[in-house]
Amino acid sequence: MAGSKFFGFIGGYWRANWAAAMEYRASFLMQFFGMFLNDGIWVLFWSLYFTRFPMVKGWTLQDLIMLWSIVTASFGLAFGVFYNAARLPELVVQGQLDYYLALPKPVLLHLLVSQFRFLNLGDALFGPLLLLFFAKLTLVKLLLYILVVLCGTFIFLGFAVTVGSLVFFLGQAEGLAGNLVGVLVHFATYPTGIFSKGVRVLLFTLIPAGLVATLPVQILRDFNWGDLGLLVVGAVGFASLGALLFTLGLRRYESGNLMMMRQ
Amino acid sequence: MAIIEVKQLQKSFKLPVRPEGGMARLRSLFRSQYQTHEAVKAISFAVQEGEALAFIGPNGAGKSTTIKMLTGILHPTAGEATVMGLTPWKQRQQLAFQIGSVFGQKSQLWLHLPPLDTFNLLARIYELDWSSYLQRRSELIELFELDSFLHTPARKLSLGQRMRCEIAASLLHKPRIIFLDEPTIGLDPVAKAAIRDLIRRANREDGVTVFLTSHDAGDIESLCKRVIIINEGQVVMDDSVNEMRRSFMQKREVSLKLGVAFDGAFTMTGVEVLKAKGYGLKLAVDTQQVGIDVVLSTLLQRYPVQDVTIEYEPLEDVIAAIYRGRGEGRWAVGK
Amino acid sequence: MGSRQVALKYAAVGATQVRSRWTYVGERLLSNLFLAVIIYVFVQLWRATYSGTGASIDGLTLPQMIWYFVATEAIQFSMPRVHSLIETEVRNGDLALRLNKPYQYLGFHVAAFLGDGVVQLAAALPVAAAVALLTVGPIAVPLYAIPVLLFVWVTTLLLHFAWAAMIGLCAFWLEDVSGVYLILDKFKWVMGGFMMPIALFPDWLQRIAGSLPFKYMFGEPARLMVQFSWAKVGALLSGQALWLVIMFALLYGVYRLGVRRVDSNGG
Repeated sequence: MAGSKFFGFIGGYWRANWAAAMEYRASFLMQFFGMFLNDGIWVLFWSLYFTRFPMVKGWTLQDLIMLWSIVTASFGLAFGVFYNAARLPELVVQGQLDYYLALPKPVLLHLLVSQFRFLNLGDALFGPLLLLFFAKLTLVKLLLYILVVLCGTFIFLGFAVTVGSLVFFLGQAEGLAGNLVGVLVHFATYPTGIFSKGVRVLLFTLIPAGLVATLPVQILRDFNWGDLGLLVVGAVGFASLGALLFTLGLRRYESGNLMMMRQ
Repeated sequence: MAIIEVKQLQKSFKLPVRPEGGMARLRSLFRSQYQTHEAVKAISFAVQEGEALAFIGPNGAGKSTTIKMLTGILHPTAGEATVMGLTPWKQRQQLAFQIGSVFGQKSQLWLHLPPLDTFNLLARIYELDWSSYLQRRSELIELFELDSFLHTPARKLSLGQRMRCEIAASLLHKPRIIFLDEPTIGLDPVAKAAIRDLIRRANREDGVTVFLTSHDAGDIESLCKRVIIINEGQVVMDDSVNEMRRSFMQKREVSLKLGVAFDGAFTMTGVEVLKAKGYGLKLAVDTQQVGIDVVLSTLLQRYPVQDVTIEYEPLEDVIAAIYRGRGEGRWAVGK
Repeated sequence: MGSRQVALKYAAVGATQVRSRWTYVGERLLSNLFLAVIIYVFVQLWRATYSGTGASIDGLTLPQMIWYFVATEAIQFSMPRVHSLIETEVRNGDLALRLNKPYQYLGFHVAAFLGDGVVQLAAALPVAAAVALLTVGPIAVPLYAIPVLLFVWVTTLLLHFAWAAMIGLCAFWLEDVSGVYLILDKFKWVMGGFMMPIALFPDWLQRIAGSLPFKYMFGEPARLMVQFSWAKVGALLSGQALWLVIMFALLYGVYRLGVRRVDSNGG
């Protein structure tokens, strides 16, 4: 079939990445479990916090655990499987896009699927396990969880590609995108209820922390179609915005003078 | 007394064995198996004060292990060594005050600072008396012609400029020995010549003992009188550079310009045609098999010859041949 | 004369490091905008928390609580990434090369670490303090406390150095130390009272945290800043001194073991 032939390269990249992980399995396991425990310690912090202050602005420990299991999973998928989304500015500035431009596959897709980051795959596994151990699950909830996590992954990716593409227009601004993604993640790991109204508007638009964190938690707690619709629209929106900005930016792309061999 | 004296110095490493296969490898994370590797097998040599010595060999021959023992970084498995009367691995710090080192691929300059700042720091590190340091510094600045970029951050210097600073930096504390590892690597011919000149002057004028490792035959030819070749942990040759030439350079390269186009019909034992293009002809002659006079007269009989040059085989090829020989033949050591 | 020369040597290393990093202090200020976000989020979280409990939590008012986090974050943000530096040096053999010079390997890194730390502190503290000033306002810190606090910053950073350098030296035995660092660093955060004062922990955890060195790396120094007293200074410095001795002894032991391993296994 034409489709499988066209997309076959994705599987090829993933197999190669996996083989690389197995080659350095000690280091892989270290990073993987390191991140796993890192997330665990944050959850420990929140459980300590809620032991002392059982409810803050309507949020309980249960909600926060749900939030962490969603955000780590979608963040982990976005940057563990599609690591290049985070490295986009660096690739552009160093002229490494040339490699992708020279090959007969869609540039953005090709770039995104070509590099894993094992550290973040630890996040991707942490989320579901946290859910499994600390939340009461039904089949419907599980399906919903998968759906909201996938939406979140698209939002993270769309956001990272959007801010990463700014480098096409601004030139030397490699640090900016990384900082903005960091800000998004930081906001996403706190209950949105603590923020003032103005900031909350920001968190559902420019820095979509509300979309990747609060909204999915609400959907899993008290399902309603409106919230789910909003989330899906957000996911499609950010993904499209990223793709659009990348495409526009690519037109301005001038290859850097640093030709580096791909490793 | 010799400034470096090495007797039966030996070093073996335990190398972890990486088993094949998933489970075995996973198990090896917890319990490793080892295999002994003899990096240096009982070598002996002595270096006199003021000498310039090339210490060469192929990668993995044991060069850097030997140097690390001589600078006190590694303990030997057996044997003795003294450097300036000190036992390096027992008196490392004391020794460090009196030796200098330059590594072509590692910089001791602070990348974001001008060389002058690194110099000042090194003066403190070597605990130099400040006023004699200042005097020494201005001497070196003049000799190495560092004036124009002394205040430029090191990252903005050219490789040649940077290397000049590296060598000046390692001479600030007036070491009696300087260890140089690939000091001209990556430099263009002009910069190479300048660096060699500076090292030579340090050696000839200040009497600094030079201990050089390099893969560049030009470094060896222009700096050193003596060469030690080490291979597979053993000294395979320890002699003067001239003697090495005489013993091994039995090939000559003969380049000719003929009056007619070369017809390709020239064969002779001991002669190999390296290149033939139009009127030009380049031959390699093995003087052990056939005299150069015989070759030339045969050629002159057959072709009109307009020009001839005769050259030694490049030192690089000679060294490569010695490495390939792996201690067989004349210079065999041991077994 | 000998010890003066040695002191001058390490002081020169530190000063050179300050000069080397100072060029980039502007860039660093910019990248510390992230720190502003962290403090801002903390302000929101604790404002919400205080609105549910009243004016004081464990003897700290809201502004004091926020300034407590300004202090812990300033400590964290001023800490250079010495673990990865040492890891790199172990791996590429630069550690061995440094031994060619007449200084102690760890001594060199302590000096460079503090030099780097000074610059990072200069780029972090103003950012964090500005956010706190704009949101919860100032707290009262007596003027005479400032030199004491700066001194405490040095002793605190030395403890951090020992911890991070030990992790970096694990590179002698491990393929990759970033995983170990992630875990041990976060462990330090929790047990040190970095994200939440130890006094708010349940009793059993308070007891554990109380017997570990990490509280001297975040919580206690931060508390000293928000509620300065000479009694606290004495207790803090003697606690830190004890742990400095223990941790540097351990660090030196690990270093000796690592160097011996290079000796038997090669670079």
